[in-house]
Amino acid sequence: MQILRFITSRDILLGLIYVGVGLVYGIYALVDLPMGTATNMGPGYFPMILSVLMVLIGVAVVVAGVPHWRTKPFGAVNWRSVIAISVSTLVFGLLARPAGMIPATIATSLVASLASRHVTWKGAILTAIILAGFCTLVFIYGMQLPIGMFGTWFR
Amino acid sequence: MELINHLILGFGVVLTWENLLFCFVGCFLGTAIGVLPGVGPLATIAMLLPLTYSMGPETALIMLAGIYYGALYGGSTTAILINLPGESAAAVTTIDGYQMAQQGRAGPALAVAALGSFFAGTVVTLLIALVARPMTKLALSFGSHEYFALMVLGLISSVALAHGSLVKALGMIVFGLLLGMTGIDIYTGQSRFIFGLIELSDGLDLVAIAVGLFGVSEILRNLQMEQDGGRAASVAKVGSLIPTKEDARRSIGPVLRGTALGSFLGVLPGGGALLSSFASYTLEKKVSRRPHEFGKGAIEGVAGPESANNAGAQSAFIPMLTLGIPGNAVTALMLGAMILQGITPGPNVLNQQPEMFWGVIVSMWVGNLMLVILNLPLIGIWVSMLRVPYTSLFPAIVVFCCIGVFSVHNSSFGVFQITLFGALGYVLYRLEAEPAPFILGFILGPMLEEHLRRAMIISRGDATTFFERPISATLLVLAVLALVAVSLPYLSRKREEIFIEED
Repeated sequence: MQILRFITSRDILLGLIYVGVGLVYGIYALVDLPMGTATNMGPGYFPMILSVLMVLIGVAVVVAGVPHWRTKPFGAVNWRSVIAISVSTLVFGLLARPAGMIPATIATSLVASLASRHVTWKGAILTAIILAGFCTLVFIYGMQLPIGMFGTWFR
Repeated sequence: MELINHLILGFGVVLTWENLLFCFVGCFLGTAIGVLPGVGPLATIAMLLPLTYSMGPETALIMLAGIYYGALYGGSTTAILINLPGESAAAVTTIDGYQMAQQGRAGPALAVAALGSFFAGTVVTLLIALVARPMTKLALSFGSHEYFALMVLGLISSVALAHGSLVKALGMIVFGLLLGMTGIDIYTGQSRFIFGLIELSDGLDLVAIAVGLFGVSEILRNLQMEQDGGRAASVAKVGSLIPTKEDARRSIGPVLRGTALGSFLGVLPGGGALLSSFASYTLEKKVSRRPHEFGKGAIEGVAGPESANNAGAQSAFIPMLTLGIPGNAVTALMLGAMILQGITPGPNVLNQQPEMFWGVIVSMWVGNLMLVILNLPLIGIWVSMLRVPYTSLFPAIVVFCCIGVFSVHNSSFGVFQITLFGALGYVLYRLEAEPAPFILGFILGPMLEEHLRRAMIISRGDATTFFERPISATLLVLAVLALVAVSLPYLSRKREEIFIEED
């Protein structure tokens, strides 16, 4: 548990994210992309410089964070909100084409509403219906976005 | 005379019903989201970016700009009436504005805020029109070396003026630059960092990233606060809007100083509305003969910062429009909008797209005029809007973000990127890493690389040429100085002080 608390301490985690991103992009560039020369830089040259910088900055953040790691815990996460909001956007992505905009809007709005404890069922349903109506009017009739109201499931 | 011709050209563009309508839509939406605490201009601009694809470039930018400066008008309303910054740049207005409201003088506070902003907006519109030519002339003499140096300076100073740890913010820039490399390399046609996903060939979706980092993570932040405490909402009565003679007399100085300060600070990379308002408040408190009244309802504490933030917001467009270098996240998104419209940002915009250029500038003045009307006589609308519960608002924001991003390529791939960057944005917020330098890096990344490669070809791989050319050398030295300056203990303490009230 101690090690987990260390890793998720604010500075340490950020530094590790930086190092991770730097390594992933750096290794990708090294393996997959021609570097070229300073005069004629290949597609891997500048990303390589950035990756090295990223790793260095990440290490610096970690090193600077080690002495204070106990006083900077990640803190309580509002899992309910994080999960509900994330899932709601996924739901939209999954439903938009097969089900169409109206069902996707209603489902997304309902799932998103789960993120707050202050939302009542009645309120959530009302919000979803009003929202679906509003979006249909504004986006489909008003701005004529190329999104179908109902998707392939309903044909 | 040239100036007058340009302004006439601009008016010709703005005074078409379509552009007037979207200018109004932008100002209206801007005021609305400015009034609502927890919905910022960045998230809104990101959300509406996809909807501007079908418009002409000038209409798109006119509307998006309206959202930005409109939000500043709306933000002061919330600050004065319920002691919450509706928009972060209005944070200092809460100090004296709310006190005035407590004393039954909300009306004059609102009036001075709106009229001061209008004055500032008018002055800066003229200022932009005046400096545009000389700035682009200067910029046209720039080669790739100078551009590279200028972008480095822009990126570094965006960090210098941001709050929080310097190293973390530098990391965010590089993070953004790296992710900006995703997609096809324009020189060789080779795809980079796509990890087997063909959809990534066009790069990561700017709109999805912006919406995720600013819109979705903002919701998560607000919901966290709701869990931790919830928000108070007792709205002060507005009363008569007309300021007394004494109010008017005391406001003139702060408005003039605020406008000057904001115009200057807005041009600096990393500057803009927020910094300008804080700086103006500090200045007014220093020069006032009645410093003891500050914090107890001094009208100077409303007039100065409100003029300054509007001036700063608008003058931030100067480097974006003339050099193609955005100084803050909002103008970076506007630049993104320009790129998506197929316009290459830079000094050539003035010559190749004069209608757009002057149209946007004149629209700022027209928009400010609309905003005074929207915000003074129609104040009642906004007060009633403060009663919309957040529980209905946030599902709507999520849906708008999704629809907007989906409609860009008519594909769900972007929507899934919202999920990813929304979660990432939340984590980064909890780790005290700011997303603004990230978005700046993401947008400037490809341009930075292009100019570096060109410069290196020209100088045959000799990097020291960056220091042999006078302009690029000066810019790079300035960048180093900025970096050194903010690492000095005295200044870093000052930075904390200035930004501490924002949270």
